Amino acid sequence: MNIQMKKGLLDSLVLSILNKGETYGYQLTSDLKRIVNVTDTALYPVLRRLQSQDYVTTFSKEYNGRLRKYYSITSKGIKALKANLVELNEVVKIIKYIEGGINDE
Amino acid sequence: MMNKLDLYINELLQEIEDLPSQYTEDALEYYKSFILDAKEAKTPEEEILLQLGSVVEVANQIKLDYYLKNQNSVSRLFQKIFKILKSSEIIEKSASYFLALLTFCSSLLMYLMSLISYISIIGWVALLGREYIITPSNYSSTKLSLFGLALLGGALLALLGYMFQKISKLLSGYTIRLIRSKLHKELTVKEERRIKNRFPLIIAVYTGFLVVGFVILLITPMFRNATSIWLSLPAKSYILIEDDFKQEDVNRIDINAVNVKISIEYEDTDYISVIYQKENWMNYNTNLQNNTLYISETGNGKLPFMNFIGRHYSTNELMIVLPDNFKESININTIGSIVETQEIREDFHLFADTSLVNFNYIDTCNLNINTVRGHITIDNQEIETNNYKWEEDSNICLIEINTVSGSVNGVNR
Repeated sequence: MNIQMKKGLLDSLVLSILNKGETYGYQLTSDLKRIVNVTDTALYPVLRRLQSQDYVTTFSKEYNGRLRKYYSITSKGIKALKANLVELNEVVKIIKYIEGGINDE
Repeated sequence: MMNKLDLYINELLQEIEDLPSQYTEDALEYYKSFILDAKEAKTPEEEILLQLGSVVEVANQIKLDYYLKNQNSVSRLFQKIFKILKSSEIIEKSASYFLALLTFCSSLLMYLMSLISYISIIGWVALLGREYIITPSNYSSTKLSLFGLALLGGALLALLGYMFQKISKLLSGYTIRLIRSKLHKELTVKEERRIKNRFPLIIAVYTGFLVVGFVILLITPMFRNATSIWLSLPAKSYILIEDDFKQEDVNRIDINAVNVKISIEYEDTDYISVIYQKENWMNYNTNLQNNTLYISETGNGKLPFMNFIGRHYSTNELMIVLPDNFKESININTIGSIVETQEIREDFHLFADTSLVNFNYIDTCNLNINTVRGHITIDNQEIETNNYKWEEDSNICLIEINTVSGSVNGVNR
């Protein structure tokens, strides 16, 4: 898949997962794994990028005698997610058109 | 012994240890936490490693993240420059701006040169006019020559400037065409107009100036102070014209003149010497016809426009040495000359137009002087009366002076 497209999709995917509720790194990877193959994509840089864009914020919570870092979506992140969704819908339209073209043959 | 996950963390740390601690600590915290969480979820070690991805890739991602955020202004500038260099349109634009600047500068130079030429022309016209109105006797062809030179030089300068502009325009046109052809683009209408060569009116004007200036320089020798001297002298007089000035006899009349005509109308004297002194490079023709001696300038054997180089001065001296027993009248017609007498003992008639006349020594004789706008001094003393009539007194002769708007200066003897 195209790197840029993949990057955008991954960002949206991470944001949509976080939109359902705060979570931590491993859990996030596990959730993603159910949808896409994350082995060839490191999640950490994605999270850092979303953090730097203020789409995602972090906080630490004690768990089993250690601090665990949690990630949650910000209002800015929700806005970005919605905007991404609009763009993705455009892509979906294109995909459907292409599919239609193939089916007509 | 370290397990594979500890090894992974160590390798990652080695990879990113050059980054600021903030970055390394954050990354390590994330990965350590990740591994712990994975272990708690009973994920097999191999599976965890697979999820983590290769150390090098993760490290590269972290490094890239760091560099993207922390690139300094210099590297940003370089990035911009690379971006600009990649864009052919920007190159084209900057090239066209540069060429436009070049064309503008050369045009400016041309106009400056033209301005200099105009100023010099106007200046010379003004100087010449002023000179002629205030002191017409000082009028000299040298100034006219200089005016011609100014005109010529100015026009040359302007033409040079124009040429420079034309060349830069051609160059810019060529470059624009080259760039356009490289970009496979048509020339715009504006560019077409800019490149197009047209014969401007201004070049005709400059060429006109050039020609006029040249003509003036060519003909100025003809405008030299023209003087004719008519002497009533003995017909059988012996006339000697010499090249070298010799001051031997005090009985003489010194006349500064260029074109000289001498007629001799006397019958009873045996000796008269006319010495025409050549002070400069000019050549003269002498011609004796019907008792009249003509001396005329023929040129100097040099290019006419070289006359301006200060060597053109009308101070050629005609010295006439009169014999001791010379007792008849002398008539001198002169225009624009300086007439100087050493001693006059007989009748002396002078028609002097715009001349300076000095009588230095006057004995018993009649002086008949007609002068228009001339200055006359006698023994270097001034008399402020116009139409001054000098009555005969003892041994002093009668002087009749007619002058228009000039001062007549006489002497009490």
